Amino acid sequence: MKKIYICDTDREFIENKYHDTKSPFNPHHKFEYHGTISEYSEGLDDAEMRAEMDRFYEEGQGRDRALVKAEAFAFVLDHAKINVSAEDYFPCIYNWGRPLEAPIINKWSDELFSGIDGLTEQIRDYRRAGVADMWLDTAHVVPDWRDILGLGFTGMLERVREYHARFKDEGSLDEKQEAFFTSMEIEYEAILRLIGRIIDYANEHRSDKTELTVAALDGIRRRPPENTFEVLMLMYIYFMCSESIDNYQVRSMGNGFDRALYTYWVRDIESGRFTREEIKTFIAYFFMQFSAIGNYWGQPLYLCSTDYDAVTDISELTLDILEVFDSLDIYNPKIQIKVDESTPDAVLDKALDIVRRGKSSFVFCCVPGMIRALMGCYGTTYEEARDCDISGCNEMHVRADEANMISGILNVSKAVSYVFDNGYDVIYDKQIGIRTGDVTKFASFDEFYSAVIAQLTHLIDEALGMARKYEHYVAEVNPSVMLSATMKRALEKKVDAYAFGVKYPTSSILYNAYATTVDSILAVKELVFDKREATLADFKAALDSNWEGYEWLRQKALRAEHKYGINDGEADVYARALHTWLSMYITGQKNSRGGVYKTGAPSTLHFIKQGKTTKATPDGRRMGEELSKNSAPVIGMERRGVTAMINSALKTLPSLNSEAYVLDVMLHPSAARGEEGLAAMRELVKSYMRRDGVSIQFNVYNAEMLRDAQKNPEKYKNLQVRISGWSILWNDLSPEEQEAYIIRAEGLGNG
Amino acid sequence: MAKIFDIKHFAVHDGPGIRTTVFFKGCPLRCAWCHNPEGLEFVTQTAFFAHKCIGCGRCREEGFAETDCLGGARVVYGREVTVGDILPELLEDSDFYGENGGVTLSGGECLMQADFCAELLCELKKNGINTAVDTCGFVPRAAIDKVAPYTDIFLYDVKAADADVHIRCTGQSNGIIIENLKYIDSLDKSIEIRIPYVPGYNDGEMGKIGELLAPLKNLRGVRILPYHPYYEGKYAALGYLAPADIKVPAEESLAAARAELQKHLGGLVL
Repeated sequence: MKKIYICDTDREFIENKYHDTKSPFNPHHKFEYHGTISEYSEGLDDAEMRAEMDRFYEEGQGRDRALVKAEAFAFVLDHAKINVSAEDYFPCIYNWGRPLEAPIINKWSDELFSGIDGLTEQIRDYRRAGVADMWLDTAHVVPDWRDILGLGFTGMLERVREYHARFKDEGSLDEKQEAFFTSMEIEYEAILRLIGRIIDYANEHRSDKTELTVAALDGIRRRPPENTFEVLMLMYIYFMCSESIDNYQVRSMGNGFDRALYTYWVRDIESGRFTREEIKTFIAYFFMQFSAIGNYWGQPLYLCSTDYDAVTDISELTLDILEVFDSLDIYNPKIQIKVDESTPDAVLDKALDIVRRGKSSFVFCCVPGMIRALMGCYGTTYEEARDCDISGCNEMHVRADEANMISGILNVSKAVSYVFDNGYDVIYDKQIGIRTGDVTKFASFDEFYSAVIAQLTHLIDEALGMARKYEHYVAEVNPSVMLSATMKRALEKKVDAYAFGVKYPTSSILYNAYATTVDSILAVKELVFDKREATLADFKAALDSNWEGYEWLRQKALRAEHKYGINDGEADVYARALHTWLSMYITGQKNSRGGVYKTGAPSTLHFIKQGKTTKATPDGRRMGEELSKNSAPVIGMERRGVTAMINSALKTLPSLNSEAYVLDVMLHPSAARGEEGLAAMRELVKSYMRRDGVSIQFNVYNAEMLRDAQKNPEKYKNLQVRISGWSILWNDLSPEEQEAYIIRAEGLGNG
Repeated sequence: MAKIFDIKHFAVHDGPGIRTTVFFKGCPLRCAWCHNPEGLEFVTQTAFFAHKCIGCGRCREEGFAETDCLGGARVVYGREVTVGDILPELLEDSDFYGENGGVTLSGGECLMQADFCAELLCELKKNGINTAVDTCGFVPRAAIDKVAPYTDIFLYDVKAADADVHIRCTGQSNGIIIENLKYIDSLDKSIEIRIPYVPGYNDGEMGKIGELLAPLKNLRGVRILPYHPYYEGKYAALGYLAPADIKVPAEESLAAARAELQKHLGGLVL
């Protein structure tokens, strides 16, 4: 029998705190909603706030943008409506809908892109053709939670003031640097004023819970947090201010949520300040905030099972956290489990048991593989790599000293299409690739393979070229004011963390359709050059006609002997070769922020989106069909089961990807059933971890269940499927996207 | 040389841990509910899965081989292999086997090809692999003697304790099966008993099976395998008549069967 940590009334209140659950809700536009709370403090409504933000933009022309942003941020916090209710421990900010984004940040972004000749057009062409999605990303960063919790808001402000005063005394600040420090002071002073306003409001609206709420707010207004509840309260306030007002996502709560709480948790229990059960209750209310906010990508946090020394076992708390999460039956926050040899089986079993019951909000991130990736790809130290943050879905970044941008997602299968069409995109009707010649005249497989690499080289060069044009302006488009104050190196260097204020200002390119590309290359090799059962002219005609009249060739391609994902020697040689080439060609190239590029394999939902504008591919895929997802084999090609699939994947050297690498494992419920099923899942994770895997995630369901869920959505309100590193509710997928998952599940009979 | 019909990776219900299972052709029993009909006959068989046929017409062409079937509708069950042929594939997943997992020989009845099994098991042990033999027990004692030195655990099927019931279920009496079970126990080999639970056939046998098993000293567990109908497509593809009128057991009757076994075997019932 599950314990209940939150009563129905309070749960219903929080579920409706950020949007009305009885009304339609689109999680992709979550900032457009308000909840059903009827009474707030005095403050501005959305229209009034928007007008003020427009004013900040107009009056801010020509001024330092960090200052303009900070003043707008402070204005919002000073004038936002707020609420504290008897049903919740955490307050509510009415104007949480990213009020700075449209009127200020987006306009600065438009100014940037329109100011660079041809950039907007090229980005548009690449996006519409399904070649690459490029954007200005500031969504994959984690603040330095250890400093935030150690110093508190007051200590952070004090530290900024100290640096500011010291540099001022030295006379070493130019105008930009002066604005940098002033902006941080403005924002943190505003946060403290906001906390004061909430306290005042709560004191006028007393309830059973407000005493604790007020005590915690009063504590963190004056000093660093001193108990578990104060830590949670500080995290919540930081999150709301940064994610909602300062426009910087907070891609983890704590540098290890269990680590962040552990010292306070021990102290609270030993001193009798709180009981273990009371702390579980606080965590339940804390988690419910993120469930109610409803980020479609899921609010991430990761668990470590050991303390900051990577040795001390803290898994009692880890298990408490998992128990609370399980009891709530929610999928948001999403949780990553850092796994190494010290991870207790009890933690793995608890998480895997939740996963096999259909709540798939977990990624298992393997510490040894991540260490290899970060040290090997861009030269981090061992300690930096071991202590890295999981920031987002399964991205890995050096804690407190890396500001990363995912610059774009590249559909690498387009390189094969362009070889067949001499660089011309026949769907988009434009020359996008390079002219590699008439494919039907290629005399050898080497010639074909070289042409694919040449097309890939061109597409990557173009993508990096686009990114370099805009990425170094990121701190001008969206100065990272709150974040920079947490990064000591940014303070020492007197510059925004997203400019040059960190040791590792990295950028990333994710590549999509990897297995589709490998299988396409292999199909041409096997059927044209090895077995001579078809010609390149046959393939060109077949792809041009979307296999019309060439079903015989399509069937041969689908049933080709060599496929990625079946532990086939020849296939895996090419899979590894392509993977290595892609990673090594991109990794280490200079970005325009003083750092380097790195790679990742997550395809997000682009395996569907970019598939729509990709013509038929030689692996047997038809035009418009989905591409391969993340690092998984092409659907239906996992014909030798899950272990063969993992063996193939590991041979491609996952840790060449220092941004992210995640392997999807789909299991039929019968394989995950009982003690044996749980033990098998645990062994898969451990084996993958010991053999240099990076991240791994599971979907446990069968096709019949998904078909039923498609017909009877009301029966499956909590069914989740994994997308990239995030889970999404089944009912939030479009019918087309649901179909993609059903097709995958139908392939499970083979494994 | 042996004849097998499949090698299955990531088998999690064929013994402890993650295992790779080799399915041998040929079985001496004819269980009414057999869910591996492609393993019954020793001869190589070609099955035709009509729903996969794409009408390519290749099977009407001269020199057609089953592997030419573009839709994959024609499936050949049975291939002759040497130990050297399949050993690399069985070692492929050794990284996943962990402390408990390994390789299971199953079927059909693997011990009908006992010489091969012994050679294969010996090679697996040389490579440090945990081994399991899944047998119906209706085999000569000599077959058991051949494989026992290289077998870590026997997965032993018990369908009925009563001889007449056993004949109705399988076509054969269970005298040899019971004797072999006791013999394996006397060799101090680990045994996991697997009882197919088939309403209308052996659902009244649980108490008697419990009595039969209770004296065994090397039992590691007793597992009930509820009848399921997910094999009927294979019967049609092979040209067999599928078993009729067998019902999937209800949860309550399974619970009662477990309780009956537990009276004799306690916590050994998995």
